[in-house]
Amino acid sequence: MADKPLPTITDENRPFWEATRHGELRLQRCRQCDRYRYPIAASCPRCLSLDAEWAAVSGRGRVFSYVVFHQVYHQAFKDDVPYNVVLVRLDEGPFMFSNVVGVGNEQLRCDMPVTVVFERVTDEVTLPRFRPEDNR
Amino acid sequence: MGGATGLVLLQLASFAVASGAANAVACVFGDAARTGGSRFSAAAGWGDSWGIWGMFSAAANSALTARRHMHEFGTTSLQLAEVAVACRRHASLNEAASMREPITVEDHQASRMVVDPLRLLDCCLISDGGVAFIVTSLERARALRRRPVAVLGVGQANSPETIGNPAWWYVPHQETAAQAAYRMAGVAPRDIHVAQLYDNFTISVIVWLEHAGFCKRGEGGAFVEGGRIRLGGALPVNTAGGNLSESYMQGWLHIVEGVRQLRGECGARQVPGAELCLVTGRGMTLNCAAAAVLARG
Repeated sequence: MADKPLPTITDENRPFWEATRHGELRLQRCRQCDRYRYPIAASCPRCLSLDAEWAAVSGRGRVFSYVVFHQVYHQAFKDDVPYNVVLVRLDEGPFMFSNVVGVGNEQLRCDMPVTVVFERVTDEVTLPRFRPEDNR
Repeated sequence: MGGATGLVLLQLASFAVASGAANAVACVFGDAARTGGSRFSAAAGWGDSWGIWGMFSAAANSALTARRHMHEFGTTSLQLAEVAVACRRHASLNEAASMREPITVEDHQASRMVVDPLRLLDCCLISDGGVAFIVTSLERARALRRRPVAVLGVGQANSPETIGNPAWWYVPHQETAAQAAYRMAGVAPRDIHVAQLYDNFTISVIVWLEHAGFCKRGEGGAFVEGGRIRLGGALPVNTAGGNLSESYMQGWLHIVEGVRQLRGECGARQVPGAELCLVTGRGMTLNCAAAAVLARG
């Protein structure tokens, strides 16, 4: 059975995956217009500046939208269905795909507040996932 | 450009003929997706695949749109069902359609979940087939035996961004493409008699109704109720059955059906007096969109 896809660590994305390995979510922030961005990219999608730094973000956000997979499209997920995939909007602005853990799929809602958790998958890769955050 | 390709080629061919670069252009499509076992299951992504989180398939991209549309505007699965039922009813009147057995809203609701909130009957077919159309000058077309159809307006709009764009889920470039087509044609949505709207999934028809100006943002779900998009309704949509029930020729048959309606060749599914048809297409992880206004020549 095929393994689940993993990120390909490159010079460009290494700071992101090194941070998650240490339990921290870091995104690129444009030094010219101060915007955080994701997906990881060489230039700012707003002002095109190449000047960016890696900065820690709160790890908090809201579920913008979510789906629940019943169809098995990849054999490595055969035992996971039904599983959720969420599009999280981080408080800092960028959107990320992820999964919400620690709650049944039927309890997912758009705009529900979530906070990041880190799940070690291999020695090199720790995936950012999210859990519901109460009291927001 | 995925499901926008047919219309984009129509646009290029029209420009080539209008500029004198070509006298006639054949636009040709063929696919063996069904025989080839295509499942449209790939994960999109930017750098890394979204499959890291289990995000695979064309269905999932549209399911995200459907869920957010439901949340923001109160759109329901029953309204998605209206789209599937209308397309199947139209296909039942089309001898060339793949799926002709009529379905009900209850059938839709009973069909298995694929990527929640999309069920099996929210998804288009996977088909083998071929489509071709020929673009030439109106003068030349008028000298031929069949009634010509005029390309009054064409537009395309593309977005290079996916989740980097907060509006990505709602594919706003579709509105840009439709508006460009209307502007070139000098017509408005209220002038359109019949529409062939790209239906990779039922939700796409609802979003296209909004972007093409047949209703306001968020009103697409309510618009499809009460048989409004069925034959005999205010705006018959996908009168041959669409990608959902005729055949998944990635939008190319939407152009063909537009031509057939305007020629008055559609028999039991003919929209009486159809003189203007809007055709739309969309592809590539929601990123490419195109539209055309066709007229009885």
